[in-house]
Amino acid sequence: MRAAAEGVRMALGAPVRLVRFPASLLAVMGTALILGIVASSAPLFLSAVGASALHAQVNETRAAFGGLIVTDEGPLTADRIAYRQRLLTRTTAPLRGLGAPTVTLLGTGATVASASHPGVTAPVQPLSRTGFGTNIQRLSGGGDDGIWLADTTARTIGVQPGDRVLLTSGDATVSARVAGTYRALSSIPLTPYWSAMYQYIWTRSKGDFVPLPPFAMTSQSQLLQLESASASSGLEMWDYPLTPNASLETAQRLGAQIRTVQASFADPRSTLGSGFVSASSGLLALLGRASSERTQLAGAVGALATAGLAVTLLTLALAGAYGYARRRSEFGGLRARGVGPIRAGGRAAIEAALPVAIGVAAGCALALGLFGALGTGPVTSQAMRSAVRWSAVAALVGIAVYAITVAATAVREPRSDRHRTRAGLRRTAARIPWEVPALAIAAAALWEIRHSGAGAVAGGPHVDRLVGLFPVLFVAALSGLAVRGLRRLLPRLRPGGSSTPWFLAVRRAAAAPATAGWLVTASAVAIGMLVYGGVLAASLQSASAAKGQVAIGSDVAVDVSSGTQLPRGSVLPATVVQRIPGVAVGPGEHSVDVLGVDPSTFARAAYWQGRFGGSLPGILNALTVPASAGSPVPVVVVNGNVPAQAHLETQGFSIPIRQVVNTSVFPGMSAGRTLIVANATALSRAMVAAGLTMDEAGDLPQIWARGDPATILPQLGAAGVPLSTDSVFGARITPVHTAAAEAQTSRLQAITWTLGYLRALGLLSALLALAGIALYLQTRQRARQVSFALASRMGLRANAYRTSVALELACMLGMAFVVGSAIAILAAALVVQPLDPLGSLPPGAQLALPLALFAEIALALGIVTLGSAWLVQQRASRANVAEVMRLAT
Amino acid sequence: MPPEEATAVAETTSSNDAASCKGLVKIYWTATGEVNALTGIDASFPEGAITAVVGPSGSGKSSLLRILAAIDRPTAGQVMIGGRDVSSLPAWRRRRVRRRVVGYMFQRPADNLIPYLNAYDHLVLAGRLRGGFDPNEADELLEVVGLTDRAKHRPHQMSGGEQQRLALASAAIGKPALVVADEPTAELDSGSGQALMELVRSLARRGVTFLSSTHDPIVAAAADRTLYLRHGALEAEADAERHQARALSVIDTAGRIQLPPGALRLFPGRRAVITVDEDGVRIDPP
Repeated sequence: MRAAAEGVRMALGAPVRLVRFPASLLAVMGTALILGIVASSAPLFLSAVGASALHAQVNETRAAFGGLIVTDEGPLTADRIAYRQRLLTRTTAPLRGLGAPTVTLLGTGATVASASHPGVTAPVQPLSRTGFGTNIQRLSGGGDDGIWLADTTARTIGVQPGDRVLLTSGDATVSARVAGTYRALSSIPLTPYWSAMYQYIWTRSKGDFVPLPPFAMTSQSQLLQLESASASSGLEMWDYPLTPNASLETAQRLGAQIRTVQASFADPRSTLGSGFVSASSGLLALLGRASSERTQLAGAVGALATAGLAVTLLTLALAGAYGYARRRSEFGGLRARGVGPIRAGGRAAIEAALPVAIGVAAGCALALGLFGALGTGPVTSQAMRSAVRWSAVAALVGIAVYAITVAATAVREPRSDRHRTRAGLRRTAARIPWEVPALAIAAAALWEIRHSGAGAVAGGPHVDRLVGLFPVLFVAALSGLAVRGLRRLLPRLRPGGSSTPWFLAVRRAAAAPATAGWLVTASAVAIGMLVYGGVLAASLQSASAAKGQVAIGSDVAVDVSSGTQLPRGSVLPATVVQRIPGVAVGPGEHSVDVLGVDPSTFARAAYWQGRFGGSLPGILNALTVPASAGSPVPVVVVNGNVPAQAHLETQGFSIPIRQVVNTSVFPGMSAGRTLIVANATALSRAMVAAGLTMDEAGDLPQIWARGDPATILPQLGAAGVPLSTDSVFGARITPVHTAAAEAQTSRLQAITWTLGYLRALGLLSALLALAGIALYLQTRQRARQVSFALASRMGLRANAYRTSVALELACMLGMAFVVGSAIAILAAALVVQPLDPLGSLPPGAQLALPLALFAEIALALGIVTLGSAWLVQQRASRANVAEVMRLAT
Repeated sequence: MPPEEATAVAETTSSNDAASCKGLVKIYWTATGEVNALTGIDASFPEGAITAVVGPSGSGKSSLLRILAAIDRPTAGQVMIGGRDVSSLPAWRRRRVRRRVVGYMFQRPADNLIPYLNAYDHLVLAGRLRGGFDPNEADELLEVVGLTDRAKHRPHQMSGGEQQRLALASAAIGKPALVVADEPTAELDSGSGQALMELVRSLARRGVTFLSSTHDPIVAAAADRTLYLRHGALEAEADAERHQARALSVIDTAGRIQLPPGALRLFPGRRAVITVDEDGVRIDPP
């Protein structure tokens, strides 16, 4: 009985035994914390990415397109509106994920006139729309009392804020105060708030788009007062947006509910069906695309997460080996008493179970918190459950890895006991560096990326898992080889001069055990992953930005009407170009695009880099106007060739051209198409000579301008440039094309997300490497105390010793920094071309080095070096020299 | 081992022996070649006896002790512990032998003890590993080694002598067939060493068999018998005439042979003439 009680008492102490070994406990819990973060990160990341993709698509369209849009038409009376509002409130109350509606009431055509000069009228559309006050560019006035008029309307009727105007709709006329004026919506790019109303801002007339009467905006009560008097019919619209914090799961549930609600709206016998004209939603379509994006990222993210788990589990194994090293004599004694690997592993598992479980749970909780606070989008509860499940599995595997490591290390039989041939095989296998197979796999991955592409899958932003695995293997293998080489080189170094710290640092680094080499390699891999992710992301973003500008031609391109000219003497960085897509070049009927340029202004507005093929002014100088109208037009041929006697064939007419310059890149070109650039005047004259006008040839004039669209467009408008609206019904519902928008492809976003995840793992790896260095310093602390005690007896000052420790650490971390960065840059250079998200459009991707990132890493390493050196020295100084020397024997 | 040789070993092993070895050979393979640590040891260790193994460094004492403690396996020869042949047992079976029938003491007291266990817990752990902890035996052993009032103390609260006495009690608990001690007094002062050996004697009187390597005259004096090892061979406790006339040696894979230490005197110039004829091989000084 007493024996059993003693056994139970001892067993109860086992789960908390690591408390007696604080360094081991910290190592295990710290690694387990990161294990929890890594294990839970993949489902959380994918969930956040899915939600982010959904909201990005919602933002690209109309906020309510991702929610619910309900419309009706009829007399705009207070009772009628209130009844419908109640119906909708009751219907949408159970729909979680829908935000508060934007209610729009649009009256029928009205006129407005100044009360003091009623003879001059201007057409307006009375409008009430929730939140209009914060979505207009206010030019004068303020307050909610009264109506807001467009600047063009106010100018026409000659009113200012505070004046009274007469609003006439049908037979009814009401008087109202002018609250203020705003910039007419037809003169500026539409914001997402107004893009929903584009069909009430522009209309099509005779093939062109003309602005409709501006809105006279006022509050709902004032609008209802006006419309009640006129008793005319109007439009009612309720835009229910998808809430910005809606997760993909919430959106999916909402999509199903909306489908049910839409069925009720479609049933004319139902209350909803009889009360409203339509109820539409694009949520299901957007959900499909978002889910597809998430699925296509899953491979790469899963591979990275697996690599991260492997690294973390390896670190946990190192923590186990470290724990064994701290208790070597204990395990030696147990081995002598016949404790085998199963018992030793069992002990280790029991001891590690609680710390690992706590660490992993904390890591999982931290990941949940971090994704909630900093993630690209909200995560689903399903992802949270998945994260918890993966964390639990990781904890179990972590405990097993720790236990197996301890068992394998602690109870290993004496080497002499093994059979000779096995020892020989082991020795032979040990002679092959692990870097060789890793490098071979990395080379195979690189070959696959370069030959099969790493995501060039049509129809989706697929990112191959090799994109993440290649740098990990490549950087690890080459770093390992480099560190091996440097370790062999170090002993040959003869520190010059009489600097004792240098001498001690170099000697210590040269005599450092293999563990130090491993730590340098691990640090190099962590730094390498950070640098690889940073360099590649910067390079691809830079390349995409350049490609966007090449495709657009400049920072901004605005579609304008035919015959639009820049004001004479304008110094704005802008130019007018004539685009004629899909023109045949004969002989051969090769389809090309034609760009007519104004050589006098083109260079100041077009995007150009020296690497595109020489000087842009030099090229433009070659685009002269021929003396004779029938002479061939000198042209620049971009991305192709034309015969010597070539003609542009359009609408049955033939225009002779002559190639004077050939280049591969030119602003305004499209991917995979040949562009013919000509002087617009020469081209126009040649067409006229051939019996054709530019309009008839399908000319799409544009103004190209450099600078921020928000700044340059008002400047152009102020300079009197009429902005056309040819693309108002395009996907982005704006006549303005920007290079930034062109560069933001979903594939670039997918790669950027993947690289972001890689960098996050790199950061975690860096934390692991730092933990490893801390453990390394801890294990060597006794030796350092002895060496400091000896050195101080010989007169070495603490300051000099601290310097030597700092130099030693700087040597290790500096080596890791240089090796990791260099190899990562090389790795990025090898894959930057295949990863180019717009690969078919020049210019080719070039490496961009984010110097700020390098500076941040160097700063962090410096802080770690100095901080660690200070800590090591403090501990060495505090040690009892006599005790240290006695234990050292 | 051929059956006739096994029978011969069995005949030379007395039923009163706690352990014995016959023709024990141990070779280590290192990067520079083979090291013949033991070149053929025949010895037996009677129950309740204290045997000291002495010899210069590198003579093979530790190898012999490790093999007799079932920690290591011989390259050739037979080892009997507690009546069973352990020489060719796989690692897991030898571990069981160590657990059940062998006690082991390291040279450094700290290596024998677990820092976070108190004295009594050490005996609990050792007894449980032996297969059954008997609290009465633990109390009795603590009393024998004079640590009853230190039962709740941890190793760092004890002196080196007390730690080694506790290690002795841990090794002896559960009535093992053999307690092997590797220079147990090396880190103790003479008084503590003397006290430890007195305890060993008192435990031996209770039937515990001790085998200890040592350089310490106190241990050698306290032993019932002393084995002298030199160059991996026993110099004493053997028939001197037979030992000098016929000595078992090992020829390594390169054809090298290690001469018995006595024979070395015949070759002061370290040169030899080897004659191979139909009667055999002769090695003579030049």
